[in-house]
Amino acid sequence: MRISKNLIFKIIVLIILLFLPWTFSSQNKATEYPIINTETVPFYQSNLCEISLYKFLEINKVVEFDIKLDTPAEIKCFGKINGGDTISQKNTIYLGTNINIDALLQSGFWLILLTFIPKSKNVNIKFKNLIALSLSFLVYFHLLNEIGFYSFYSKTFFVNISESFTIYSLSLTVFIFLRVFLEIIESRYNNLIYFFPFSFLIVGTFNSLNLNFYLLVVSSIGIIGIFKNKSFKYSSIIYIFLVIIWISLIETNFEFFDVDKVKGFISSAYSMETIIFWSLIYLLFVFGVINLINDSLNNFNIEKLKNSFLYSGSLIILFSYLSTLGPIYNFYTYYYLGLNKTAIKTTQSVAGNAWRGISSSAETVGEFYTFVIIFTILINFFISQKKLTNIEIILLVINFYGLYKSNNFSAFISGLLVLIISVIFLKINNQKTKRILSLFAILLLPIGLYIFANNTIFKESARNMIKTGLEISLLEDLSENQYGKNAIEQNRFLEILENESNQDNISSSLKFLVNKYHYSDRNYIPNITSTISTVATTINRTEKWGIFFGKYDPNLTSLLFGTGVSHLANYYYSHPTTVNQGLVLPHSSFLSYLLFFGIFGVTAFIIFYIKLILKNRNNIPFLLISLFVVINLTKNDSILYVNSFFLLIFVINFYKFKTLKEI
Amino acid sequence: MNKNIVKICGESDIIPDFEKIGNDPNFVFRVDPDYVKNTLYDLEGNSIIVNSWLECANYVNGGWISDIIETNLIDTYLFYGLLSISFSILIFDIFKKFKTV
Repeated sequence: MRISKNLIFKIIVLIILLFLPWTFSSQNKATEYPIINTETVPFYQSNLCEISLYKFLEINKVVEFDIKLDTPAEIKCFGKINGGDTISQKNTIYLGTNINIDALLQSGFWLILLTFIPKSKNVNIKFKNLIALSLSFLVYFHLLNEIGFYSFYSKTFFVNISESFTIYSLSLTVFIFLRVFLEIIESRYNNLIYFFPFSFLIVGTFNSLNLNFYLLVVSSIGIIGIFKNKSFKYSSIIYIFLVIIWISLIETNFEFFDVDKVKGFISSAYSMETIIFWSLIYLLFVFGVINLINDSLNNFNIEKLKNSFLYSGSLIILFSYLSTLGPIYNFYTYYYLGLNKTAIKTTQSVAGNAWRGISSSAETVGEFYTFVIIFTILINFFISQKKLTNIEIILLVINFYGLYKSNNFSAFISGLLVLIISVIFLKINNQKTKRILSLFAILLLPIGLYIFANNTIFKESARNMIKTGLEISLLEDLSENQYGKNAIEQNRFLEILENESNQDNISSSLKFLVNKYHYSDRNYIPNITSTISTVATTINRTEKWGIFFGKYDPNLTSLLFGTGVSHLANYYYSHPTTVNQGLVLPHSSFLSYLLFFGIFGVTAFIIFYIKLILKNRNNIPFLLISLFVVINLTKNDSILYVNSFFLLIFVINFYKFKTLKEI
Repeated sequence: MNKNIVKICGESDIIPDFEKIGNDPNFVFRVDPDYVKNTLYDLEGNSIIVNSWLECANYVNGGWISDIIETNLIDTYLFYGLLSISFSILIFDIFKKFKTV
């Protein structure tokens, strides 16, 4: 096999980007540095910014330590040891990173990886400079308005140009990398879609920016789409009205919201400016994905996409294990894969027996593995109609192993349901029997739920959620009876609701649910409160949804239209409860979108999807993967991650691919 | 007066006579308890802690700098570097367009 000079050059550049930034020491003091232990930690605390990470590793070959990042370090301290500490009896070093260098290094690394995508027919992209320039202005606007987040990540983050150039350097970096991106994809455009499953491996979140690589590059494709797609223009007009409503609903600005593991796709503040930025970038991203799919419809090879899914899932497992080998591997996967959260450091499962590996959520990655499995099987059974190859079987087994480690039971059950229905469709020839059996399989879930909920043993499940909601509310006068039980524990919810001192402390959504529970003829299913609560109990969401309703305090307009896409700060802070620390997500993509788009938006989405499904009712692969995705959207926040959102848009548009046979 | 003095040492009403300080080998800088200690560096990487505005101004006048200035310098170089690359891209594209017309 001949290896081209170009390939060797790219590999050399990748190696340089991987190792060189972490090898520069300030002075030749390395030999004087002691091996890190509890006694020498103070030495590391007082000798900052001198030795590089690799010098440190050379000195500390045999000792155990942990690496934490000192993200606000100055440029000269990038890649150097910038502090030390003993945390939970473990010696920890702080490795200096810098916002400017992070943006340059990470985007450069990912762009080089993009050049490995095989070339396709050349596509002429017009206005490349204009597209890159407009997005860099948008990023500049974003940087200006999320000062709270960026001040935390950089010591030199000042809006005034006389004080610091950081903000301007970052905008220029974005311009350059987007311009280079557009140049790279011109010759690879038609092959891009095959590589999107790798966004679950290379997540693309910048270390110290509240931005994601894919969000920016796909948005640039979105701008290309606006020029040629009329429906994009019309939907933008409706969207503008929605943005105006969101802006009009702002009562208090919030300068800082800790985005934690949803960094890169959720605003770290709440203001008119952040609503404008996130609404725009969200829309451009959606347009970008749709445009990419539309442009890839001709000559689309579904086998290539299937292989990408299989390899991506397997590589996630590989890199997850690699991350457990030591702190340096853990740091490398975090930094160069652009993870939202550092990978898990052990191969042992933790809370809830789930193992998330490099993913920031065990549930999301479990869903992904299941998707890979059902997608592969569906493609092989329904489209290619051929047996799995040995390599495919090995890769499938690895993905099965990933699913087992992630311990995502609901993804497993929903995946199994999809596979059962697909077997029904493959093995049974009679159309009527096919439909009846499939309907029965689908209805098993709600029927089971109904029986479960109305069983006297489980009646408690009907009120569990409102109990949790009330428990986190800041309630007064919760006196206890002679057995030490308060009004919540005694299920005296209406009494709590009617207590005047509690009026402002109970959220409007919780008040609604409690009222519905008490003033209905029937306390059990189909009572709305009991239904939601029982579903929550069955899928282990009682606590999370209880917290959600305890905090969700909309007025009529925000209930109808939401408070803005990618904004959680208003929901999180405007109604104080006992849960105001740490990131507690709604744990349902539908609930998250209820916050963003309100009932109007969620209903519009459901109607749109139902219509799409009815229109394509003979397209079984499309129906089955849609069923799987919708079930999992109910109980997971995955839509708050860029890659899962990309996958959702892909699934919604999956019917467009001509290679799908109607069965 | 050196413009870096205000940047590094802060504002002061004192009008320093650097010539006099330089010519007096016995000149001693008095510690100002109200002055927040500042660390300065020379080009060889040596550091010194100054305890008064006058001492700080004297060293800055002699070419010593602080972290702030050093950081700003790297920041500035990076910015101009990126700006040059951006302009080069734009100019290259304009030339390319002219060539194809």
